[in-house]
Amino acid sequence: MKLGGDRIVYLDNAATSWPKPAAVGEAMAEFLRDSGGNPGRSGHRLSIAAGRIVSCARDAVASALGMSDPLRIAFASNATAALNTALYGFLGPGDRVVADGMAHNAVARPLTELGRRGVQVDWARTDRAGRLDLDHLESLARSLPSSGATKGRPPARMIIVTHGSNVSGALVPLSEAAGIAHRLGAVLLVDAAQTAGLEDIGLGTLGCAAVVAFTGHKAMLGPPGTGGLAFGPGVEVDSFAPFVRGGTGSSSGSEDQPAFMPDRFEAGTVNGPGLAGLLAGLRWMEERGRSAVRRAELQAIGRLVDGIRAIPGATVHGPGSREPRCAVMSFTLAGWSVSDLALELDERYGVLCRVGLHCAPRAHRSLGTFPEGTARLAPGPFTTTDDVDYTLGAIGELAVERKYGP
Amino acid sequence: MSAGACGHVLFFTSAAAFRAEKLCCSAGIAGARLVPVPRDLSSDCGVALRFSLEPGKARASVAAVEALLTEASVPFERTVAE
Repeated sequence: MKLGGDRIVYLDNAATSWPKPAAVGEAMAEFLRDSGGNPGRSGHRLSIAAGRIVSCARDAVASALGMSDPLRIAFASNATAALNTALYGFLGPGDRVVADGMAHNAVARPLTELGRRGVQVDWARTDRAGRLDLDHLESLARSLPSSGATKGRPPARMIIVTHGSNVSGALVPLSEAAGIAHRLGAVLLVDAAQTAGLEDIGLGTLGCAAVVAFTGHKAMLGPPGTGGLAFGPGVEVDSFAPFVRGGTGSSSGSEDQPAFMPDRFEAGTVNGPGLAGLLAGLRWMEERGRSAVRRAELQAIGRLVDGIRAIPGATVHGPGSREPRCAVMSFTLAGWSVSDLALELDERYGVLCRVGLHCAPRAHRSLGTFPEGTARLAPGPFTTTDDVDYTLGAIGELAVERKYGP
Repeated sequence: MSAGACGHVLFFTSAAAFRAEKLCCSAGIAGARLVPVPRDLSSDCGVALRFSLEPGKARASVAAVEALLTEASVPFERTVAE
């Protein structure tokens, strides 16, 4: 892609996808211009027109997550807000929870605070490639005598997994995590920020009480400010208290938050223009075929992983190109700090990536890359094979130059 | 403005009302559209689904809409036929 005459290779789709399909911006402008009423508040034509768009977005998200009842989706401003709703709404003093070692701060920070409030938090280990040790997770969640620190404590009430790591790209097998949750009678909370919209989640058929937090501005190709929480068919919505309370356009005579979905978790005006854009992004993905887009992205990430592994001085921190993974990878390069590397890739080559800790210090500790962090590359649906080869060429040249050290 | 007798479905939440409208329109329910909740009815939600009642078969018209919504797990408060 050319921007201002210079080549731009955008490999920061794990932060937010870019570019968006043209239809996304057009749908947002159209919403504001032609149907700008408040969805679900009034009965006039503009409010109803806006409500229809929000309803279609809810249907499209349900389809993308593999669930049949769109009314069990509550929109939120992003995956972080959704995760906070799930964690603060479900957990209380004396509860036990087990989370995985690749957790983003959107999970780790609320759990740290909940730990101060009496929630017992245990962390399941991952290996140096970020692969979750599911046996360790189950052992911790069961409080088996062999699990030491958890001996004699109640089984975990909630299990939290990072479906796709935003650092290493490692993918957790959801069916296995769901099996553990089912055996223990625990709720499975899935942080699907990196995967929702692209990977198969199959929320309707996981076979356990499962809740998925998703964002709209990454793989779903929508704008920032969209996301939400999806409740699978096996989970009791009543067991989650709302995190935010306020107007819903329903039960207006009562000062109690409605108990029914989705109003229970949708206080305040929803992001109508954002959801119009999200709907356009999901439709774009449907038209091209989600599996075809995923195949192309995995091909790109596989080429990056294999190509960088072959560069002298480069280390890939994550699973191999043919292992279960999403289109995110991390690496470091001998002779370069990651910040200098990113600056050089941007200024000299127009390759845009994110470096550092990626809001996931626990994941970097698991990978052994804390506190320096890594350079992260994340292709998207518009990344070409030529973009990948150009990037590999740039990293290869920088590997030879070595800014620091022998 | 619709002519003839009509029925209404009242909902707890507008999210269900919009889903119901889409389902009823797809299923060819005559006259299905969202309207502000009529003044003589009251509901938790500000919009209702209006639909046409087939002359002489009001009960069957209502039953068809109720069956459609129940089949799709769309919760509603009640149905009202004029």
